[in-house]
Amino acid sequence: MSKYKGFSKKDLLDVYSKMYLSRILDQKQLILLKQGKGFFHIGASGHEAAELAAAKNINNKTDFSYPYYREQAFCIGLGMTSRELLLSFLAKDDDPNSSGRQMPQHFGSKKLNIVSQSSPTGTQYLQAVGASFVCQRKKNKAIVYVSSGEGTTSQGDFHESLNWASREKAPVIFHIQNNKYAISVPIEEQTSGESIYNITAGYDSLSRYDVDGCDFFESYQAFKLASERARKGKGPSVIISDVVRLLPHSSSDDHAKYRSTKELNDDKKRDPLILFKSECMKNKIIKAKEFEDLEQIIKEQVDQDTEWAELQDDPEPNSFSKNLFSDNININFSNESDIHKIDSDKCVMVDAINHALSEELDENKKMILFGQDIAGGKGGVFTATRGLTEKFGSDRVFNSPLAESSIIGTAIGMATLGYKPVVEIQFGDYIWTAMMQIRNELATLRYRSNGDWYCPLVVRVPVGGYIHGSLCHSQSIDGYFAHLPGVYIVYPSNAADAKALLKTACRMDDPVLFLEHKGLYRQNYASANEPDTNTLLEFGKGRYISFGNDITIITWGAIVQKSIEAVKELGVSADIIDLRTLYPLDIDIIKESVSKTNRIVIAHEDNLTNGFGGEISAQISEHLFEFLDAPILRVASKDLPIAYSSTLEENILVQTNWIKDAINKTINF
Amino acid sequence: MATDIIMPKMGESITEGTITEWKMNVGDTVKKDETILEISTDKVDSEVPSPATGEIISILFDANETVEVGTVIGVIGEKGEKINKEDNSEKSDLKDKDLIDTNKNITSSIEIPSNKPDIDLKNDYKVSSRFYSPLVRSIAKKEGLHLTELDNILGTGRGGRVNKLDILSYLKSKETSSSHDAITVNEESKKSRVPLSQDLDSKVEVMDPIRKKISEHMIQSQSISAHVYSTIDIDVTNLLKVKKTYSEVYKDKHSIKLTVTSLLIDACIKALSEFPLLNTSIVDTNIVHHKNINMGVAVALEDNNLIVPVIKSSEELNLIGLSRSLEDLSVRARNKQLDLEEVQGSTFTITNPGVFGGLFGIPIINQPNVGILSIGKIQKKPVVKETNFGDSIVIRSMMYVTLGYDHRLIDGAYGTKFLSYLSQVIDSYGDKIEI
Ligand SMILES: Cc1ncc(C[n+]2csc(CCOP(=O)(O)OP(=O)(O)O)c2C)c(N)n1
Ligand SMILES: [Mg+2]
Repeated sequence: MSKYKGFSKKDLLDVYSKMYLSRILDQKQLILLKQGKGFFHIGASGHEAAELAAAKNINNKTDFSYPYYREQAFCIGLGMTSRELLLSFLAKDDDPNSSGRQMPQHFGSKKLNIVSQSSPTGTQYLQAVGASFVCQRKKNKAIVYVSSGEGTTSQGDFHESLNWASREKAPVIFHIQNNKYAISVPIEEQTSGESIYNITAGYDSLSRYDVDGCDFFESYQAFKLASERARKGKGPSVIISDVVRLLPHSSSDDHAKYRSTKELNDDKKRDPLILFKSECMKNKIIKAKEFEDLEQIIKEQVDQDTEWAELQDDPEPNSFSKNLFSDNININFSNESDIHKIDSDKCVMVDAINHALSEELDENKKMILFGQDIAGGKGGVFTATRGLTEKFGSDRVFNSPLAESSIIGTAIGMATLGYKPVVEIQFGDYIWTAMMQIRNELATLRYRSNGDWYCPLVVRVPVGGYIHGSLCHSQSIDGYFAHLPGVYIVYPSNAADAKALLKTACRMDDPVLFLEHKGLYRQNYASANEPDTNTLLEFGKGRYISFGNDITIITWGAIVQKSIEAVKELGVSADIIDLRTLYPLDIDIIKESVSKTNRIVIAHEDNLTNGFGGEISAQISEHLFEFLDAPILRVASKDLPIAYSSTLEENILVQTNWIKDAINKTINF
Repeated sequence: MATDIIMPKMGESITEGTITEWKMNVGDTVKKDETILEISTDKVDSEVPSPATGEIISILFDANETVEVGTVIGVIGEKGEKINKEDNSEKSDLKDKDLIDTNKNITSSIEIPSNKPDIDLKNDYKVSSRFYSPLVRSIAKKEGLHLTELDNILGTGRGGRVNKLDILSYLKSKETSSSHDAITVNEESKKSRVPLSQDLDSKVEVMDPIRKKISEHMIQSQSISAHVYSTIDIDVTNLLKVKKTYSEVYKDKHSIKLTVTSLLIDACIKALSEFPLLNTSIVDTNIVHHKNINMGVAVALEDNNLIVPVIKSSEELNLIGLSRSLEDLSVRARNKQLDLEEVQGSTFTITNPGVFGGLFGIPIINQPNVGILSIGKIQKKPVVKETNFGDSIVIRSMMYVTLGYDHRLIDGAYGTKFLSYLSQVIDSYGDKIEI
């Protein structure tokens, strides 16, 4: 049997059946939605050819895919079934995408190597680049596929991805499906020169393809070339497919409000299914009747699948809290006494961190470090990673571009594929450009995929003030992140805890935000006898710095020392509790102490309003109200930016005297 | 009347002592000076002799407990002296370290009916006019304290708030059935108070034990008693004349000094005999009438401290005896040679800021007294005198005398009448003193 453009008839029927299945599923889901059986749908109608062309070049066993929401046809092309997609639409328990956690069309499949996708436009790119770094290291010719609409190319993450992928000649294909609209915003109001092709010029190893995405065959050729190129290690490609959006943006949209009838009719003329059919019929490969029969079978199949899917179970109501974190932590934790030793050499906190990283790099060959300035002779602006490139090579300890979202995004991708990135954000003050990656990707991957995907990376972040760092080198960020379910938060106050906690962080199966106070790095009082290689401290265990009867001071980070000073100067009998981790919060130690002293001061460096102290205070009054003999007082920095001048800084950041005042007030209540 | 057994100070640097063994039990009769317990301190071990003859009516600390010097560790009362409490001895003392356990049970114990007196939980502590912290409420609830009972606990917290230690020591005093401890101000709560010290350059010095004791005592008194004052201007011209006339005689004949103070004490005793309500103590809602007038006399020490030696049964002494006692006690007070019992058991107190130039004082009652007399400076003043020949201005030696008294028991009329009577006694000093 003769082939058409390299495809057998069987292949072509297969491609069509998948495009058609996607199309019919769009229609079916919109019907179900209107029947009140679902709440959201976003369609691929008009994008099917480009997506099938892509899918046909991706190996669902070895390659990894990051498809965006309008890629139902791509997922079908990769092997997702109509039953699975209907389970997703109906938010059923057996849905392989997210078991009812995410909206429909947020794809993910462990089986098909489709990494669970979240909602923000553009975050997927950096993760795909990170994943492609792992493929590169595996040297198995695997590649990574990632896509979005044209509007999404306005996101910084997209450009950051092109830069880093191009720098590394990463095996990744960027697929931009240009339907000329981002919801209602036309490309002329979106993109410089109305051309994604043009704006992606200038990246050294990036190949670019501008194709008619409604033409399966043309698109297929581009993906073939791009994938071969990537598998050969020649670098990334961007493929811009010119497609049509036959449906409104989503079930929540009515495009008649912003698109003309003429334009809509013109788009219909480019319907990729019609074009595909007519090309096959024109070239006498497949007859109209054959298509009709196939369509009939598919329609009936979808009807049956729908009936079946509707009968499937909803998620167990009490499974709602499952899979925020991994349940099984297989770490041999040490006793408190092993952490605060007396017989080893003393070291300062920054060296303890350096040693922990070095030991863990030795321990875990999949662990890598990157961040700004962390490599080579510099070894980080605070020297936490000094000497590590020399010791472990630039493959494992290397500099990232100056882009925080890149650091977190690629680290997520690498972690998802089994690596252990331990990355540094140079200053907590600059973590904010990575916030989307942290908030909507890092923290949610395990939950949203119901445990199928997870990204256990460690983000080390120097934070805090008292170093004349002014507004943007002094910030405390714990309050922001403590609000975020899905990330462990560690904040050590001394070298011994820092080492033992960082080593644990490197072995956890979930993301860890590891906060390092810049002011403590070389402080004598924060130095400690160094715990040995096998010392690992469990998260969620606060530590009594002192024992007393009259008051409990709950604190962490740099304020631990200030609390010690305050207590000493006043001569009061106080329990000082160093929380060490904010998530998990050691509520047991708080309970134990509060039920003894009945008076509490919470002291932290972060500013007052919405600082984590407010949460602790609330938890105490909710759970331990009857133990209170005085109101809970918080000592926190002022709700202000942090000024440079010493005299100003001293009035903004928490001072020992402030803690003393609070203790006095509480004790004298 | 009740006498405290106090942890003695066994050496200059000693601040606490440990009870090693009680040789007597509650209910045993003891003779004065008979050994009642043994203690040990960092420096010495010692037997503690009974401060009084009577019956041990309360033991406040058990063997092996360590308490601060000066702490009342037991009480001796007169035979048969009763404290209106049932015996709760099967209940263990509620101590600080037990609190965690106590509190742990609070939540669950709310639901569980106990053998505690039934209290109406609806009639809860919120209806009180006073503020109670959640902790105090939950302890009160657990212990079955009636609202009125709770309302009567004296608070040492901010603005007189009842705090954890207040309620715990109240409960403790309830259990130990001690008349003494019915005064529910706790010692521990004072210990934990910190002075507000903003100024880092200030030197911080720990109070010596006597100062601490005075400090506690004064705060305690202010939170217990409803202080009220009356002042009167007394003509002491005659008294001075008497003093002048007889001081030689006293010196020669009795080799003692006749002082203005001893004359005033003498007058005061006479006035107290006439106004006996000022020679009482308040225990709970009971008035304890003291048989004797044990006159406390405040003596300023050189180290800035203050001590109040007591002239026991002063009403039995004539002026000679009084003067002798006074001289003896004040000399030994200044030399720190007083025995503990000599500074205990006062029933009324006199203080004399006048000798330092004070016009008049507003003294704090020396607990458990209900009255204190403050003597001002004697000044010569032009005074208008009514004579048969009309008004005339004369120069007289005048002295302000202030009576501080506890309004819980004594009202203005009574207090002021006492002063007027005192004035008359003083004014009427003539030739009739004992020689
Ligand atoms: C960061 C972010 N901003 C806004 C949105 C809301 N949003 C969802 S899709 C979309 C338009 C995307 O347009 P385009 O990239 O062209 O893809 P298309 O939907 O046209 O396929 C917007 C604004 C979002 N999901 N994420
Ligand atoms: Mg678009």
